[in-house]
Amino acid sequence: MSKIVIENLYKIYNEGKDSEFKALKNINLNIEDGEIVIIKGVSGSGKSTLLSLMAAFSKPSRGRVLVDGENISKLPDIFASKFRNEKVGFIFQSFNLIDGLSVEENVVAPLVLCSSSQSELDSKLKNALKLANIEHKKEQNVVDLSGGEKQRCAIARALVNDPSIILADEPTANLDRENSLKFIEILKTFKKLNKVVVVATHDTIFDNLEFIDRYVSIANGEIE
Amino acid sequence: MLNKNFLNFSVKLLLKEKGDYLFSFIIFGFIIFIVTSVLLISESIKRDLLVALQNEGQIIVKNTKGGRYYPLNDNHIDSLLQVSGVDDVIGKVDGYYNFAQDRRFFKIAVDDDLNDTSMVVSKDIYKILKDFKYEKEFNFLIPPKNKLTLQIKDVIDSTIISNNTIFVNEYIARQILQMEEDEYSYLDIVVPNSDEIENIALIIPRIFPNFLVLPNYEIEADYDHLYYYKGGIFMILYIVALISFFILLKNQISSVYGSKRKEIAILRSIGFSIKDIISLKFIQNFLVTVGAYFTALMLSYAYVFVFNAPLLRNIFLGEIEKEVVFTPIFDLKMLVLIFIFTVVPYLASILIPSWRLAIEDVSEAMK
Amino acid sequence: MSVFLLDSLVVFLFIELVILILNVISEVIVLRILRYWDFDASNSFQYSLERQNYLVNTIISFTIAVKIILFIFFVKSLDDLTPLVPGAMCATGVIGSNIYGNPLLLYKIFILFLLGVWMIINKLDLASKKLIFLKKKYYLFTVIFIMICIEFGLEILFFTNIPLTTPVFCCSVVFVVENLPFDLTTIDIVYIFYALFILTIVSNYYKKISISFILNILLMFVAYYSVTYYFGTYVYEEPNHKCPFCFLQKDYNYVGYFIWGFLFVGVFFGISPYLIYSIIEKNYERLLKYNTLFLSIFTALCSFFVIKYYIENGVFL
Repeated sequence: MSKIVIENLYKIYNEGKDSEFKALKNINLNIEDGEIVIIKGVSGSGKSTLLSLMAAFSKPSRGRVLVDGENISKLPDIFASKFRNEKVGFIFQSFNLIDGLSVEENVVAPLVLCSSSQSELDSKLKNALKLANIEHKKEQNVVDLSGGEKQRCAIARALVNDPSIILADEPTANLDRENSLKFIEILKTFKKLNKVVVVATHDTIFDNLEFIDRYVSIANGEIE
Repeated sequence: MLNKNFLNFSVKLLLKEKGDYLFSFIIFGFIIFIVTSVLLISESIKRDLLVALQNEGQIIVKNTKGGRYYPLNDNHIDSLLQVSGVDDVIGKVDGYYNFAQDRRFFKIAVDDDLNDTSMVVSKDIYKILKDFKYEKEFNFLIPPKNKLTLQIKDVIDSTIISNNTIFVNEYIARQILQMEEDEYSYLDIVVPNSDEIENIALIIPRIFPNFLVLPNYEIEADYDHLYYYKGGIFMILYIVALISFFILLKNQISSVYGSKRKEIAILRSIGFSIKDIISLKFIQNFLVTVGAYFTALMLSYAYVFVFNAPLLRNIFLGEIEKEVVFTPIFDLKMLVLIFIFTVVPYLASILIPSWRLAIEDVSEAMK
Repeated sequence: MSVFLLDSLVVFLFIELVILILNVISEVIVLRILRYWDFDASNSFQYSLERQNYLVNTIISFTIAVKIILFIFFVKSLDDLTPLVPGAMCATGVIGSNIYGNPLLLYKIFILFLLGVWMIINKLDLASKKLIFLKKKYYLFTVIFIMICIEFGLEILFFTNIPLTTPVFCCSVVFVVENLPFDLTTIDIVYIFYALFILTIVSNYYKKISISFILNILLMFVAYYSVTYYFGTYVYEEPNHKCPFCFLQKDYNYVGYFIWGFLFVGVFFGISPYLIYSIIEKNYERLLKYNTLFLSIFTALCSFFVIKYYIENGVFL
């Protein structure tokens, strides 16, 4: 069975009102284990909405998203949160770090929900910081980091709980070319770690990369 | 869910945002400070009165004639000793000396450790005497034309009991109060079995219909009445202040939380559930209130027992008794009462704002 | 003069009122959820109900925590009232001073039991991916809500009817006649207590939830009588001092709170598996082991005072 199965997915805002807006229309998509998928589309095409449904950030108006055979769209909040915490690492366009906390404190945040021992915590933390290559800045406040460093911190946080799915929303939009290329290197690392990666982007830097398994284009809420 | 790591993380976030909580901390601390100070003062006064009462017999009797107090004598003691259950009857001497120069009465009480030429006065009295140039000794004027000079041997702290009191030995007291050798102001009746106090208190008026009989539990209840209603009215007025504070707090919390939406959305996106966010906010507010509670408690103790409660004392004592010191007390029940009175409604008032914050749309994080 | 000016009563009623207001808010939401809940619906209204569900859970959990504190506080406030009520030496006089006192106390314990059961059902509900017990737990809450409203009314009635001039009976009068059911003697009751205790443990061992339920209810009443008329006298070390409240006071190191606490917590774990089963048809018999644990502590504590007295004095009272 596919890792992620998306069936007849609709997301409609203000349904039944004059301002009704169909962000997603009848999306069907299967993603296999270890696959790296790039979702391409202009801004407003619905690719971010699709990612947010895959991460159980919001609930679909119709249809469903199955992850490992479980319908995550109908999960009550506690289970949806647990799913996000354990199975999904999300990388945001604006990094979404908590200002005022250090790199280390930001990265450890997803781990505080489970009662793991200090040594377990430390080893997971160290591992994630190393993978994202941000170990040397771990005690620095995230406000003082450069754009590239912020993203690596965000990546470390996404990886810290060893999720099987990595979702990235416009990961290179706030980065210069050099750092964008570094991100592509990190994608290769994800591939080696056999993670499912879905990147929503309109950046051409992702075009024609040989290690990408699939490109999906989306426009006006529909897969083309 | 409530594990050590989660607690640590909550504290880290709290420390990062301590400025946001400063307002609640200070106002809430002030509210606790006032209520604690008032209760400490009234409890301390009550405790002093009760301690003084414990030094007396189980029943106090006074004689009256035509509605005025009238001295007792040895015959009375002998008759009372006949009552079964009475172990001992002790004649006591006290009364008031009219210090005409300042138009005030001093209470004269007996301390038999003193000799015939000395006396002990309270700080309040000492101050008055000093104003009239009596720094080392004082002359009691005893009609028709006698003068009795006593050295001021010691000046003691004024408490609610002793602030207006001059202590002398019994012989001197009788001279000042112009009482005969076998006259007594009141009698202390010692009743060892507490079950019999009530019964004996009923028997005495049958023997001496003029007697005023005051069993200790009745005096105690009188003190309780006097102070419970002062405390109660204060608490009721205070609820109004509390309610306005909580309305203020709710608005303040809502506006602070408004600016935290993004942060909460980030936490939600990495797996914090609505329940976790509510717990997080609950823990943080609990720490803030408990911090404010203990800070305020320490300040109140210092204010009342070190600085003798300037301003507030006047509510209880009036302007006259300036030198009264409060005897320190520690009453766990009162502290628990204050805790429940303040912390519980505080936490209750943040439940709904915390929930509002927690249900914020997670996709907010993506904007 | 009024009892409502006693500061602990002012605080007690104020907090009860705060809790009542929070519960009214919850009940409004609960009624909406009960009416419109449809787990399979995918509209935003259903999702908003799901979110409101968490507010109600939070408020009720808070209510339970505060109610437990307030229950202890209530008993303590009764002690505070004793100097105001002529003749009362301990809470017995105050609680027995009008017809509302004793029912109110029993009623409060009953509400706490129900809230505890609600808590467990809530936990099971949140642990299920489809919130299968949601409607049942909110029907139960509605019952509890009505009970809490009645409780508040009873409290007002109780406090306003405390006589401040007519003397009441103190414990030495109320419990002097052995007012035991079915003409039993004190010793009979103690034997019945130990027998019931052993039967309950056996029933718990075989996980017979309905039998444990009945035994625990019987045990609670029998334990009340045995503590008041037998074990209590050993705590006071006085054969004629029979009172279920005096040992709550400082003179006896507050041991009463532990005695009654272990009994009530124990009985709660004994009766809740059956209640849970009858409400949501789910076996939750693992609570019975806590029943065994707490009842054993309770029995050991009570027996301790008897044995201690026997060792020190060589005789029984």
